[in-house]
Amino acid sequence: MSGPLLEIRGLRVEFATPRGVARVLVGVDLDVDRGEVVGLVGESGCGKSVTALAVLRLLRAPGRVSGGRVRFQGRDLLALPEPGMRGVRGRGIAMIFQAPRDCLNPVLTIGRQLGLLLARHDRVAGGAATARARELCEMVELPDPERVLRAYPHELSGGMCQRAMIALALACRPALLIADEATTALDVTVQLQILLLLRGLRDTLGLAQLIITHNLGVVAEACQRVAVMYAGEIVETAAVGELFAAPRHPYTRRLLAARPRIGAAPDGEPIPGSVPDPLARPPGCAFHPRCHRAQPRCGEQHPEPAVLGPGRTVRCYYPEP
Amino acid sequence: MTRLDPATCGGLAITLALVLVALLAPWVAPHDPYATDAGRALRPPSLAHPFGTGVFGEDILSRVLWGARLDLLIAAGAVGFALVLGGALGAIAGFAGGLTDEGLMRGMDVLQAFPNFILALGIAAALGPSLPNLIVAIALTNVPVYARLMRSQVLTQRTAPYALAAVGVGNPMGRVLFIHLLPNTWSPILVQATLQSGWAILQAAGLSFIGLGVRVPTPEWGVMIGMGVQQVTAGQWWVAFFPGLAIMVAVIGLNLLGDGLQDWLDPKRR
Repeated sequence: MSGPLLEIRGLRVEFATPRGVARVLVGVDLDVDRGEVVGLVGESGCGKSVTALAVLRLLRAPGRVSGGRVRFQGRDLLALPEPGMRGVRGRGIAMIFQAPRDCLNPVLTIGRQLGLLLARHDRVAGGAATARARELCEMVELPDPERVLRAYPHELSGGMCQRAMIALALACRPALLIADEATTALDVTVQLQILLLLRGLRDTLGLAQLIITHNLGVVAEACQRVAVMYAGEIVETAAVGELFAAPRHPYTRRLLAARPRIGAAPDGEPIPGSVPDPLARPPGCAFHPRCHRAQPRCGEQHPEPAVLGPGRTVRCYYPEP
Repeated sequence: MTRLDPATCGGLAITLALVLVALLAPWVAPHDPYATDAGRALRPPSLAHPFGTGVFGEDILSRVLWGARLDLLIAAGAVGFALVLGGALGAIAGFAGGLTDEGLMRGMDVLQAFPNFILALGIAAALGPSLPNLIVAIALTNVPVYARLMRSQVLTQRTAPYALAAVGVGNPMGRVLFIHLLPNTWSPILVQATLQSGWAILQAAGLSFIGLGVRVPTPEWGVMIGMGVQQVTAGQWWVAFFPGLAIMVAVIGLNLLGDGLQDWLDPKRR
């Protein structure tokens, strides 16, 4: 098997609405290699979560994939029949979500939920399952596993729920973990703990991760490579260090500049205007109406990603120097 | 485990007492409920007959105790039948959505368009007066209640993040429905079933009272009130009063229990 673990090419997603067809993803290209942690950043509504849901084929009507290709471990996920897809979900790709407590079944204890999952995927039960459940609790550094396994989700803190959620995700030994804003709802201290836990999982298990976030601090902390998303497409990809040191897409630069920092006024003004309506995308580059570097060409032609170096692309005619 | 409040305890005590009486009727009743004795007809309450005697000299106390057996059986049967049928229809409608949902729910609307009692009356009259028919008639009028409740529960739970998460770890939809969604729909349904049991007793008594349920001389509370109604104007109030009291106590007990269960079943208070 050659090629990246997860390969997304030209992924397009549309939502049929009463006002017309909303083009939410207009051609997303993204790779995640084995054991690699990739960040996917962008503002709310740019299509980060939709990308993740489309990969797992969990989009609900009226959303539908209208084009593109998703390959995972050499298999075309968009063409896979539903029973085959069930084997990919959980065992191949696991996903954790923003509100961990809402993602746990409120009427079942954590131990029961782990037990159900282990019985289904690993076909273990009884003593072996209990031992594995305890092992998973240790893996995600849940204190006092006995108590946690007997607890209902509402009896645990947000951070503990997220750890339990990660334990559930790890129960099936996935090759890729998608974390959709997994730390957003948590306190900053807990957020850091979870990020360190995720990093530890990469080091010990070689677990590849796609970390979806709007928080550039999370990217800096957790990821090796970043893809910046704007209005349903990837506008820049780079190694984390390069991106922070020298952003090339004007949007990335403004996004970085808009971060609050201690002791310094944010440099430059906020990005004017707002994210384009997916029902009425501007012609040419989707960012040009808000771009300070825009030229007439930007409003006429849609830029293709330009390769600037290994793993470094930018979708812009006039990138930042 | 939170402690039960006094009202719920009362409801639970009344309900348990009723169930006990129903189970033990042959042993706790002092007389045969069918035994008649023209010589002691229409006696007021006394030590020998604490609830008095009826038109044919039957012992009202014994008949009220035996009545618990029949009325609880009708309530449990009707509610159980309605719950299983309505719950299944509601779950299918909520989970499948689309045309299935529309078809099933408009059917339920048709049933609900008639006043409850009139519908039960019509069904009972069409089927003919008998115990099984009475149960079916009451159950059918209650099916929409459970169907709607179950559908709304499934609809809200279906879009809950944990349902998506369950699909996300590779569960097929059927498994998500049975293992994850249905257990989250139980508590309001159980509460409704308890409250509805009280109504079922009222409906059963009502139908029997007008002669469309079980027949004289069966010891059933509605039948007994029917038998005593002519006597009330003659001052012999006890013939209708005690079965009426039994209905009231049973309905109050089930309602208190239902209200209490509502709080108690909330997983956040466990």
